[in-house]
Amino acid sequence: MRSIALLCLTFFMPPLLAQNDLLAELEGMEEKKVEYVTAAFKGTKIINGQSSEIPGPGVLQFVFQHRFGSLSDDFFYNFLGLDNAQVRLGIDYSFNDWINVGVGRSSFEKTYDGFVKAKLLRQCTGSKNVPLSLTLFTSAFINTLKFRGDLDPDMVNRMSYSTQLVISRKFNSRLSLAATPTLLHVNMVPETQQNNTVLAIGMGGRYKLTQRLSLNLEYFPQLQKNNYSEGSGTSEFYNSLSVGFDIETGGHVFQLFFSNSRGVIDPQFIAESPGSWTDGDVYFGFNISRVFTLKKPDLPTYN
Amino acid sequence: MKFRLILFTALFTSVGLNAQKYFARDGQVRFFSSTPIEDIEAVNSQTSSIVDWGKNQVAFRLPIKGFQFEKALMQEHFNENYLESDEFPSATFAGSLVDIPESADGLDDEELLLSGILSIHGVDQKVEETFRLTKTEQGMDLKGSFVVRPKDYDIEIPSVTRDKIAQSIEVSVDIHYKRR
Repeated sequence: MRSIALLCLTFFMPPLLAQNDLLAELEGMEEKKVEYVTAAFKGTKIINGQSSEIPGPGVLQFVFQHRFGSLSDDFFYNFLGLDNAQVRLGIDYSFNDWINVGVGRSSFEKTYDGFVKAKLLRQCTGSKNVPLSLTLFTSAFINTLKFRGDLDPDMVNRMSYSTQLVISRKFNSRLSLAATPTLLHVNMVPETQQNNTVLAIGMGGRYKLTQRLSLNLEYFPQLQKNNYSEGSGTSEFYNSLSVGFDIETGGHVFQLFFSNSRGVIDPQFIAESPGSWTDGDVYFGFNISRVFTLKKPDLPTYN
Repeated sequence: MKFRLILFTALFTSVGLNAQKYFARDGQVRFFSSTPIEDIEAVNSQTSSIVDWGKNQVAFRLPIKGFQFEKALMQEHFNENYLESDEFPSATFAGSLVDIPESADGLDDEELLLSGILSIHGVDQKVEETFRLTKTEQGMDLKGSFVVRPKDYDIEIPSVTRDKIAQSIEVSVDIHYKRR
């Protein structure tokens, strides 16, 4: 009797489950692949500091970084700070999916820079599980401001360097966080009170509010005090604190933010931020990026 | 004894049915979106499919992240903003042939109507599309194209990109099956 019931079951069950069976069979056939986590951040920068992202392989990126004058400095007289704007223009190119090289020029102290950014380890799931990404960024800067009517013949004195390791993790589709140990070295500082070498640990993150809008926060505490002379005494440089939004529109990413750092490049914004949020020394700024695909990948053709 | 006989017969017939089963792992699905401003094309060569003639069942499955675009940023946006592939990693189709040919052996080159549930972005839609099935040495080929409207699958296209992404997207399928 029981076997008849069993028989009935086997006869009547298959048609009901059949479609799921085939889909389940397909699921079982699927090979487990390495799935790299993508789009942890919308831009290659969180705000001032680097994110874990680089443009895709064969993609040229143009970045326009703009910093207005201080909100506390005759804000309306200076046309919302526009009259004192500082700008960095940069281009970078990704040769493959892990190495990116770029150059830039910022208006403050007429500084040129060159950098290499490499994804050393990529967060992934699937057949390989890596919980975080490691991205190395290293950059050299040269100040080309004329000194007593001409360029300093000793160019080495005008060089400064930045090396950062971006340790980041995309926790879910909304939240990504990064810790960025940073080593800065300035060959010649303007004042004896200032450190030639500065260590800082950047902390940053983004939280996606909607698909195309995210809230970004960034803080770069320096590990030792860095002073500058002011009047008869000395003042301490502040740690850089920035908050802003990423807005994405197809090929562009607009990053709009407020920061107590005016400088665009690492030695300036990490080690030389004279203003504090509490004194209203806050600057509005934006980064705009636009990408151009120079080398298109070969798409598979019909077989 | 009787039970054993039935079991034996059942086993035997299931072997017979299995012989009518066709498999593909690297089928191609390609989509094309065309607007006056921009043409967008993407290819996925990781489509797996099974056609079971005995049960008259067909299933497709493809990983959304397997779509390759010409522009890296587009691919990122496709996964991140439109298809939300972390949440909905694959698209599937499960259905059957509307007019069943007697068996795969009788098949030569025919247009067949396939009916079933297409699931994209976590949304199920009933679809009915015509495909061309051609007998080959190793098994058979399936080719065809149909139109998918992003709106039907709750794929939201914001106003800033509305001019660049078509409302109806042409999807073409090209799958080579092996008989097993």
